[in-house]
Amino acid sequence: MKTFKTTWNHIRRSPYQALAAILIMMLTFLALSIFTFVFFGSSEIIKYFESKPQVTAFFKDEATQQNIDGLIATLEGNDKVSDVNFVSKNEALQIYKEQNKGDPLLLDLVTEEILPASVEISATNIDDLSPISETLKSSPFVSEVVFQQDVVKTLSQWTNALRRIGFVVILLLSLVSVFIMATIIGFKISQKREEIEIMRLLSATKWYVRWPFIFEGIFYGVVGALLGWTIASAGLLYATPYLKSFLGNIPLLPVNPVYLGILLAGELMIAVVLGTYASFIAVLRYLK
Amino acid sequence: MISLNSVSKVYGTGKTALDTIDLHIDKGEFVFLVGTSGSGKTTLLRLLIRDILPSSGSILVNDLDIVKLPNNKISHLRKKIGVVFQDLKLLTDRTIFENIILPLEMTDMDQKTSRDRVNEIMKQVGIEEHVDKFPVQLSGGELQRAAIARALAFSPDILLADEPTGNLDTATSWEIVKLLQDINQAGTTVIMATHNTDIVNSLLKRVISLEKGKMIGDTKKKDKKEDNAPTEDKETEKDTKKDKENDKESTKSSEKDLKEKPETKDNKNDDQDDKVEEKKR
Repeated sequence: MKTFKTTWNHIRRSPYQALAAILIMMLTFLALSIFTFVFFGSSEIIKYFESKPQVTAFFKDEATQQNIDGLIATLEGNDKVSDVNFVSKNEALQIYKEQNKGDPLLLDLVTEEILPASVEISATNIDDLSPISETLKSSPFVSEVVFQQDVVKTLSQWTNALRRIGFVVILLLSLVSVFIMATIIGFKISQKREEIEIMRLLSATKWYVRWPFIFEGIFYGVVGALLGWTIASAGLLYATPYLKSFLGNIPLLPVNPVYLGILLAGELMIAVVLGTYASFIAVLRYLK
Repeated sequence: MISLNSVSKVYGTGKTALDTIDLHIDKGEFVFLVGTSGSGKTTLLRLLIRDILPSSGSILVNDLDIVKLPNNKISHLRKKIGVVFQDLKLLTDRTIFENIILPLEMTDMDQKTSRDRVNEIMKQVGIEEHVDKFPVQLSGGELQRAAIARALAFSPDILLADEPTGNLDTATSWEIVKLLQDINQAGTTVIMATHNTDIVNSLLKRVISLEKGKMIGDTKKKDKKEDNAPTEDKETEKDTKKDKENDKESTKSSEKDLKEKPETKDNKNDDQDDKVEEKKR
């Protein structure tokens, strides 16, 4: 209790240094929160695209149900294929109607006869899309093959690049905040050198002197993490309606509050580690 | 209680601060440590609280071997020894009450007990009306009392006072000495380093004289010699009286030396020695 009181006095008596330490930690955790949202968000988007049928083969009108069943059976026997879904002409019309229910003109123009029957195939591995597509193209009953390998691949590349950048930025910001905090705490120790010397002569143990500085580092880390998380979460909640309309059918938003709670808990743990590490550097450097 | 066996201290600069000191102080004694600036008085006191280590020899305080004392036991030792520092070492940004309670805050003592203890000591040293004042608002004598009060916080077995009357007028000096005497009568061993020969000569307590790091006199040893000598031997008695007179003369000459030699120069040298010592450590 006395240690916490001393820690609070240290913070209270040099508010600008405390503010600087908190702000740099806040910046680090704001970046960490934003990149965490991007990391998990992009993963979910990719997962969404990967779970969607990746190859669609449209059948020629002359293909009989027997021909189609034969091809589906062949595909289902293929190890590279994870799922096969047949869409009949009638089902295709229902989907079309659903997608264009707001435009009666388009609905009037299209009949079941115009729309082709199709088969939607998901691959176990995205790299297998190409051979599957080739197999389908070689079939005499297939008129057209569409597959979204390029879309997923491009998205994956972007996401990976973003993750790498995020990791480097967070790493750099963490290092900067640790060193800035260590400098601030070290400066405070230097300012209190005389007081510390007197305390030592009056029977203070090394750790009696050190603990308040360690707690000070933890305090800056925790307050910085709380602020960073609050700003990022508030920003995400505010942007949710806009992002939702941008993402369309991708079931990503709103973010479950439990996930935000887990993120906060994780950030608080990292904050304690960073704060302790920074103050340890200062304490071991200036309070031998 | 306190025992120094062949203790020497050579600072990093090569200056010998103490040279083969053998000394024994019993529980409850009042001892004056006299000598010119740079004679080793402060070094001796610093050795007793393990602020510095001796270059050779051994020191026992309350059966604790100071030289071999592990670092985690230093705090325990310092609770047994109260120190009134030459420069007082009061924190200027804290009130007198906060300064005195500081050592107690380092213990598990609850707040109420600590506050009661501080109020009690402040009353004992006569500064109870200055509870909320800052050091800058107090006179020299009151500051000395505050420093003594802080040294008494743990009810120490030993009280070391380094020049407690250094910057005080005669009347205030006597008040401080009277206070130290009261503390001694309550059972605390008091070791007071001083230049003030009037006080030393008037109180007739044990006097240990240092000069250039060597112990040149200890009135207790002489008293022992007197006790052992045959009472009829008037010649020896005369010699002893002569010795005492010589001692007085020597203390006076020390005082004269002090007046002649500027103190600051010696203190500066001591500070330099300390810095080198700290770096070495």
